[in-house]
Amino acid sequence: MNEFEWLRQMRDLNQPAAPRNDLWARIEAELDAADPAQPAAVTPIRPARRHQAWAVAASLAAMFVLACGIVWHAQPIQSNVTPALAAMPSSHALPWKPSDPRLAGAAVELDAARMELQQAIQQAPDSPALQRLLQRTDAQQAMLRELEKHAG
Amino acid sequence: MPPALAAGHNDTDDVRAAAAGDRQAFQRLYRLHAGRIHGAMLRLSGYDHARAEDLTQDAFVRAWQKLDSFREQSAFGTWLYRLAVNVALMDIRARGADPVGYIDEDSVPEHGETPFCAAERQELERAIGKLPPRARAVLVLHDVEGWRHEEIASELEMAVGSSKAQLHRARGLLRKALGEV
Repeated sequence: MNEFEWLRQMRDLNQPAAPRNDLWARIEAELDAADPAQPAAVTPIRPARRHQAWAVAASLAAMFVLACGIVWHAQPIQSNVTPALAAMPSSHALPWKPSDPRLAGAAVELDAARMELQQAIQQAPDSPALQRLLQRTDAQQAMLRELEKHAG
Repeated sequence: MPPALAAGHNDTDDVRAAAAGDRQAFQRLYRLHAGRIHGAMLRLSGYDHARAEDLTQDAFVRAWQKLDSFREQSAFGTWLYRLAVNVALMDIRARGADPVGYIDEDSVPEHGETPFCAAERQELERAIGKLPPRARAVLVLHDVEGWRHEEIASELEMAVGSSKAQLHRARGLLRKALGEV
């Protein structure tokens, strides 16, 4: 038998074949056992989780600035920001672009984090956790300004 | 590659509904594609019906779990077929199939009858079922399903040359089993 005839015979095997048993009941049972919820549906994010997302974003920005501080051997800076001040727009909230390009990225991150935290505080003004995060962000912005001074 | 579905059939709505969690839509997809998927599982499992049913079931369960990753860049049937073949190949790998020898070539029964061209389809299927798992997978994917060696080698995690060698060996064993050699 030549190659062509061989392949023709083999390709003829490529036919659908119904299972001898209806597998749907088994499949459905396994789906129920593995994942009773709707697996592919997108679950909407609840407001509380949005706050968590902002908090995570702010924490990431804080870690980045901390790393910058270690690199620059900066002195620790005390923050004078109070919760009352934090809830209001401050000079820290104004866009600030450091002249040193090495600090610019961190400044942008902190500005964005502060803006998100302020939006979160508007929705949950009594949240001490958000107030603390805002204070910390302001303190990190202040630290960044100090770093810029030292950097010349 | 998998045979095309009946012309004009559109399962897009059911795919989207199933991706949103609609079991009935997924059941309709199962009814539509089960024959084609089970056919491929049957060939790759060496016409072991019980195992082919397990593989088909596993393929549809995984398809349900991965529906949100289906991007509609290809037909759903093609995506499902590929996923199912992967399930079958993973099964072959998980069983630790010996890539060199599963059965002794001398143990393949000789046939004194007319050669391959006169063999019954059932006889051919039975002979394929007796091939070593990896050689059978390469033969089925290349000669029956129409895959290229590069695709087979990638899926079976082997060199392209190994895929060609496995195909050569599988064809030889098959011809011998069919009494053609």
